[in-house]
Amino acid sequence: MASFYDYFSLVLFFAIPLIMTALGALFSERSGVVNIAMEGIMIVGAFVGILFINGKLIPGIDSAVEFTEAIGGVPVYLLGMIIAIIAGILVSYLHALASIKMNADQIISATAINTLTPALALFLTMSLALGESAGTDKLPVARSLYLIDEVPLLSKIPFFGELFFQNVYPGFYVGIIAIILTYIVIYKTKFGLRLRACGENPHAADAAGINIYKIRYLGVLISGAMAGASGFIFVIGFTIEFNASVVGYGFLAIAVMIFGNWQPLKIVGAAFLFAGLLTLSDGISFFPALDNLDIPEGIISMLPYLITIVVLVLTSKNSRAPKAAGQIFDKGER
Amino acid sequence: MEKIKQFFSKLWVSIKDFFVNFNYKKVLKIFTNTKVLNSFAAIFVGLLIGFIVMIFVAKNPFTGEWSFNTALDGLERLFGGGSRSLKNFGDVLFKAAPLILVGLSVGFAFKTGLFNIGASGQFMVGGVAALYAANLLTLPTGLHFVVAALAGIAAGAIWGFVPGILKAIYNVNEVITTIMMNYIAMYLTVMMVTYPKVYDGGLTAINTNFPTAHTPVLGLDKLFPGSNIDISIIIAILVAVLIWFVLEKTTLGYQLKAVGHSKDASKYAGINYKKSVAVSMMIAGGLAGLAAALYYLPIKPAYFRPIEVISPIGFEGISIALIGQSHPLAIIFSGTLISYIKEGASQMQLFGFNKEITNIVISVIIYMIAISSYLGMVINKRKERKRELAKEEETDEENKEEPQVKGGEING
Repeated sequence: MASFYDYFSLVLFFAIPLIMTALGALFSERSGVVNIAMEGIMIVGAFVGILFINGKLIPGIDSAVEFTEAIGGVPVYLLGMIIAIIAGILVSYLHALASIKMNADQIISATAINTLTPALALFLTMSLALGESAGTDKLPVARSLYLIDEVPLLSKIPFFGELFFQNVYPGFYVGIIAIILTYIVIYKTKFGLRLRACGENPHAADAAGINIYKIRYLGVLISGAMAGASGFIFVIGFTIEFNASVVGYGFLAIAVMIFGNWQPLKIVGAAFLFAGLLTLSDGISFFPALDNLDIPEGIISMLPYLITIVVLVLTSKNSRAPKAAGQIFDKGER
Repeated sequence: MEKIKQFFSKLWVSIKDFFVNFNYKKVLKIFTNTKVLNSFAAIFVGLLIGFIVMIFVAKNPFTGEWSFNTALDGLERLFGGGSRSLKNFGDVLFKAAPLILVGLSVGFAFKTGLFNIGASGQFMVGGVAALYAANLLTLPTGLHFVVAALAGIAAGAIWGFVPGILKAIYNVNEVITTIMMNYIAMYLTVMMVTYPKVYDGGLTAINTNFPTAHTPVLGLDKLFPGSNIDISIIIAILVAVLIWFVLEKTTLGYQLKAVGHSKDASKYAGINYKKSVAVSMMIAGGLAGLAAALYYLPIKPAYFRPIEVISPIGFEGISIALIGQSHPLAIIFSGTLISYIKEGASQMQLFGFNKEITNIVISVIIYMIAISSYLGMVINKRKERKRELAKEEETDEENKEEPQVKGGEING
């Protein structure tokens, strides 16, 4: 049981940022704007958020330790996340402005953002000496400061207590809340209905009196907020040094979204499957039967990607992308 | 055979046509095309914003104080670094060749309605295949290079074919499959690099000592003394012309573009949609594979190391294709431009500027290109409004006189 538990908590850690980013991309695509800038926005969120928690944005505070001693680890983490969200929204606004107002090709403006953000983060880190010492392009991440050892009372619940309420980052709960909220917003609210209508048939939605531009702006900005937050969660959860990269997680999240057929619950399932396979090379020792087969590590690392392709081939008949995704909305054309 | 003969005679005729009926007005027309002007304006804005960023962080290297002159020095290197000497320009051309080909790979896919994010993966497998052929085969000089390059093309083509055929038959989104294929390529190549027969433990990379398979230089180093230039740039330019010819002058290219414009319409017109998609991705993959061969085979070695990082070149290829607006001949220019800016940026480090400024400039250029048609529209509208205002004023003046006459008539 212990082995399964270890593996499962590892999968959970990987899956949460993946799900959040994929759901963010979902908001954008459901409104009809393809957003492959998730990778770039995640980097911005992580970069600005980490600068904040390291005290670089506040005069008088020099280090992450000092900051957490002043107001406590969890509040610093949450404030950092809010800053990351704001940064994510600001950058996604660039994409929204180009693709909604200026009728730009959505892939082109997103590519610009993906190129800009890691370069800008590295450039600023180097030029303004934001890292630990001058001349490094890495930001230190003191991640252990933000770990919640145990949640009082809840951590005493057998099994689940150990799994969900011990040694977790606050981002984990934020992620869970985001998943639930996304489902409710998309399927149970007026805004969600309008969002889906914009992505499916904007002209019909327009005729029904919906302001397409406004809904699309909101869709893209929400995706930016979620990508900013998940970039922050991802980097703090998995690294002690940030070098302006989220190792392709933003692109993987888009793959997960397509894999999940543009539906929130399926995306959650797809992300768990994917995260489970992704962590297999780390977690294979938990499965003695598999471990004894002595499969080369490279092959095991390839598995998530191979299996994704196979599953896509098998399920492609049911694939349903939002019909208007990627198309420029022109009021006069009908 | 007959088809190939026809293809080459057609190619010859159009090349001859270009030179025989050479007309400077035609060339001038190309450069004053709005699309081209937009690109130049975007490049200008990109460099300008790069300069503004530089002003903010410019520090005198000796005193450490903010200094405008340092920013100017940096700008001078960014603009002129690539052409300071024949050696520098030779290196710019040398490094441009793989970039042009990767740009062509992405651009070709764009033209046929596909988004190839997988150029990185195709590049990586192409590189390993070319290096394997270079290390494991014994062939005479020259032929060995051709075979190694073909091996790279074949591997890249296979890597592109898989997403293509999956899109054609099962309608699987090529964006996701090419991303997945990138990761699979990364792990596969890491495994293949450490194969004992090709691995050089001292370099911690694939052995680069294969004298018969290096890219031929053909005396180009005499033109650009001291640089690493070889025939790769010529190959890249020829391939770009070939791709342009295929897209613009052949039935195949017409079909591929038709599929890119509208899947349903092309099906209705009797074009084999499935074949087109598969062929298009295969060609795109082959181009990325050739880029890798030209990247790893030169005498000045580029090392293929077993690191688990996806090569960033595929994403650069997207930028290059976008700056060239997916036009094969424009991509020759945009690939060289990126290489030129990169060379300038690497020299800027002398003045304490980080070389990441290249990507900042590139991203601004791409963004400006994305919104250029809108900006053009706004500017045109303004012009029109001004013209209309001017006209209204004229007519107002006329109107002032007219009513008096008319009034007189009525009264009379």
